[in-house]
Amino acid sequence: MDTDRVTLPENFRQRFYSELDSTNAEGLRLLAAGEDGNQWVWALHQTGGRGRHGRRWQSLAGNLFASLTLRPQCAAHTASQLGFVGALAVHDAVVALAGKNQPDLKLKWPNDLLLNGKKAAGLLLESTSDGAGRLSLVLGVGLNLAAHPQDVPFPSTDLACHGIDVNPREALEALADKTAKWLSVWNDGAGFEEIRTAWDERSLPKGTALQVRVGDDRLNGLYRGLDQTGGLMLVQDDGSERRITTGDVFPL
Amino acid sequence: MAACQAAWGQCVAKQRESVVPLTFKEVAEILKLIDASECDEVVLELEGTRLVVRRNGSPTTDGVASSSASDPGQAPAQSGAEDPAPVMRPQTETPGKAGLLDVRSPMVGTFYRRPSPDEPPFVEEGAQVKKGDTLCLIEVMKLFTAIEAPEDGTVAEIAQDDGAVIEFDQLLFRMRT
Repeated sequence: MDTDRVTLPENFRQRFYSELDSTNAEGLRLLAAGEDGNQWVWALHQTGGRGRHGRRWQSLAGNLFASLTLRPQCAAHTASQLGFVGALAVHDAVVALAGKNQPDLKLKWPNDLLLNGKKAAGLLLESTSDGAGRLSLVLGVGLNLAAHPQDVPFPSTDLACHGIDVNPREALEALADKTAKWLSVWNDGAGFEEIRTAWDERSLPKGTALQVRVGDDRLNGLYRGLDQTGGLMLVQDDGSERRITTGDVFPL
Repeated sequence: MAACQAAWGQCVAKQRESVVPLTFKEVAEILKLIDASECDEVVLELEGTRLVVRRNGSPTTDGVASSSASDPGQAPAQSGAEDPAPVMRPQTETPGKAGLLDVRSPMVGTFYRRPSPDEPPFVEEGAQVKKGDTLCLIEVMKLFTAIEAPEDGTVAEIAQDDGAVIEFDQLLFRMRT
């Protein structure tokens, strides 16, 4: 397998590693060293894959570990919309990879991809903000291609389980292609309304019963949709509406 | 909004007491009203605080605290898709007290003092830090942003609790440089 080079859209670069601690960590190091953004950092093996707030991402052989480095020219709160951009790209990449064999794909707030209700991909956005508020950002994607972890809080799956056999290189080509497309739609935040609409079309249906875990709090309610800024709107059991910007979402 | 940023080169809040009785959002609203007017200079005195706003920023010598008045419409409730001003502002370079450097939040989100719940905090009060060291993380919609020390110095005050929900421009740290 010729893994070390993928065909990328115009204006994107790549760095391939056989092994890294974390593609996000390496992407942030490259940005801190002064490299330009728009570079895909990817590895066949990750020894310290990261999830939300210091959690471990189990990096099983044969899966895709890739991070896109970016230097967004927008304010930090606008940059958080990149999670939706990335989620759309991962979703559409899997649609393209699946071909005629389309599985049931749904997005779960804010940026997990569910395949038949189980998690097939996760995103982690990390950035640094310097004294002047300039952001160096990585959009990290873990896509389960060949294997999935068993001992995780949310049930997971992989593409091979559903008859979609692709290697990391093919997966990254599809992902890079869709990411370039949705980044251009997003346009540093100017096109977020289109992103929001597209995300909504691919999400769990409105009215889905959800539990949101924020720290030790548990909020139950029905999914109402995304608000103007991408916050999750939850109708709680007492009828009140709550806007969520942080937390883990579990369909009930 | 970029034009507004250029027009309002100078905004000075002179503090006689330690607490300004205006929120950032209220100041932003006032700036918007004034920007739509013909005034060249506005002086507002409220409960011991004097807010001076001059169009095109003639220098002043009496300000204890000064800040760039860019991006006045960027209040938390209006953030997101309609963000009119994708312009960076030097919010962490605002001296709040003499000799102290305020580090403020560039975004609405959740404040974390630790890289993960099981690890020690990035910094404690009294810690020596170098420019670029991570002081905290702020999470919004799974974007984790490391806020860096703007200068070498000492952490004089940690203004937020771990896990606190913070607003745009809210004080996070005071540093002695």
